[in-house]
Amino acid sequence: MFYLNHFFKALLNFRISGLLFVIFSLTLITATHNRKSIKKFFSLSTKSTSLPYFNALISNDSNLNAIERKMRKLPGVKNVRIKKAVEVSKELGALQVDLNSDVLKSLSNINYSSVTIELSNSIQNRSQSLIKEYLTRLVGDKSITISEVKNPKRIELSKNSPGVLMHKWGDFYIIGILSVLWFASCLSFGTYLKNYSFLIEKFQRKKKVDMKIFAFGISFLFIFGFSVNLYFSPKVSFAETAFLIIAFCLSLAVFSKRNEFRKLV
Amino acid sequence: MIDNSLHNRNNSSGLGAPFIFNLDGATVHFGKVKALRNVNLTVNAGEVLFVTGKSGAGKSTLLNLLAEDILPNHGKFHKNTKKNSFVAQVFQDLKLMENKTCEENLWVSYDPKIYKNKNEFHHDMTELCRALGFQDKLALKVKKANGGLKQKVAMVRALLSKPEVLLADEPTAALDRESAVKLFEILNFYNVRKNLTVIWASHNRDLVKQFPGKIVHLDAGNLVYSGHACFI
Repeated sequence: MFYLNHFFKALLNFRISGLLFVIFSLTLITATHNRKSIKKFFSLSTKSTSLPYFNALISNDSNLNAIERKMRKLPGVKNVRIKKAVEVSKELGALQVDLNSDVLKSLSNINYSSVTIELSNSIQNRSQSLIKEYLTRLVGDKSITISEVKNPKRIELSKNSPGVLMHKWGDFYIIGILSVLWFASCLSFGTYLKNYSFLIEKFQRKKKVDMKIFAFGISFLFIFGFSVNLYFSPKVSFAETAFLIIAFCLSLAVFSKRNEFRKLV
Repeated sequence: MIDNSLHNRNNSSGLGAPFIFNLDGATVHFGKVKALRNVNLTVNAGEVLFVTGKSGAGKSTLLNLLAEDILPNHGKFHKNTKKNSFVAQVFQDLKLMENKTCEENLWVSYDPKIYKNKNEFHHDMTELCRALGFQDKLALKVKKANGGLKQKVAMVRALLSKPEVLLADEPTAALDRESAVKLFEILNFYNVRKNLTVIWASHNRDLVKQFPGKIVHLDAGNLVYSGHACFI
């Protein structure tokens, strides 16, 4: 407790570098533990649909579930997404700033649901028309408005483009950058901690105080950060644990280096 | 090189008192600058040793060497491990925490290994501060204190750690003569009653000549005199 107590005292004495050290330590642990989430965040495949699609506004009087079921059975239809009237009116409500009140009033009287139908990539124009025609017949001419078929934009990315690189290595880049920042904060706070420990060593019968304070402090941060992360996502990866142990040992090794002529800042 | 095994071979000085430090041809240089040259010195337990010399003569380097903050580039440094001597320092730049009060700086020396409780430490602290005449200034922040007060705080901080050896680097530089004499009386009391070994570096040879003890005079890193003050 003596060393942990002094770790917190040192954090209070050197607030900026101490705060940065705590933040980067906890962020590094969180990032390492949630590496898959970071990878998913930078993944290009989850960004948008890659299929041609068309939208339709359908009167709420229609049986939406039956329409969805029947449309899904059609060859060439990959997916059917329905937004019910409540959701559509919410989205219209969000446009209040841009539209004047008369337009909004007329729109609020319309009781439509929105349907998005995704088609397979290889589908011909003739088949697209047949699918639209089938949907019109299911709902009825007067109760439906159909848009043109839209093809999603295709962007050709080179292997070295930032998007592709982040898609492939984004998690490693983030953890790498965080590791460098953590190590820098470690050195910065370590300098203050060494000076602080120097006084304790000089006036109390204790040795290697700096290393002991740092070891207790970093252990506390790692255990705390790891426990919190485990509470929210209880999965432990060997590689991640090994990485954190290596980081822990490396920082201790740097700390154990003997300093000659330490000066108090 | 530090050799802690010397006590197996030679555990006492010529006078029969056990030695604490022994320098055997110690040379220290920082780059091309030689701070100490081939110094031979033995410090015995319970001794009062004044290290004199001009600025840059190597006094602080000698004290840092004895405190094991630096190592000799050549020669040997022996510390008697059997004595298990705790060494406290009064630094030339004092090394006080400027944003803390004088009292907070003194509490750095509170070691539960040597004090039964905080009350005992507080009692000793009050006594020492009273003896040096600054017991009413303990709440003052160090950055607002004058040079003399800072020096007294640094000295009391060192004494509160109950050391067996005290290394004081220019402890009276910012003190008037009266305060300097009072400080020496306190150190003398600790020396006589508690067998405290005092190593006191000062450029003011006239001042230290008035006190009983051994003098070591340094000149450009060379030890040129070692003996009692009366013969200098």
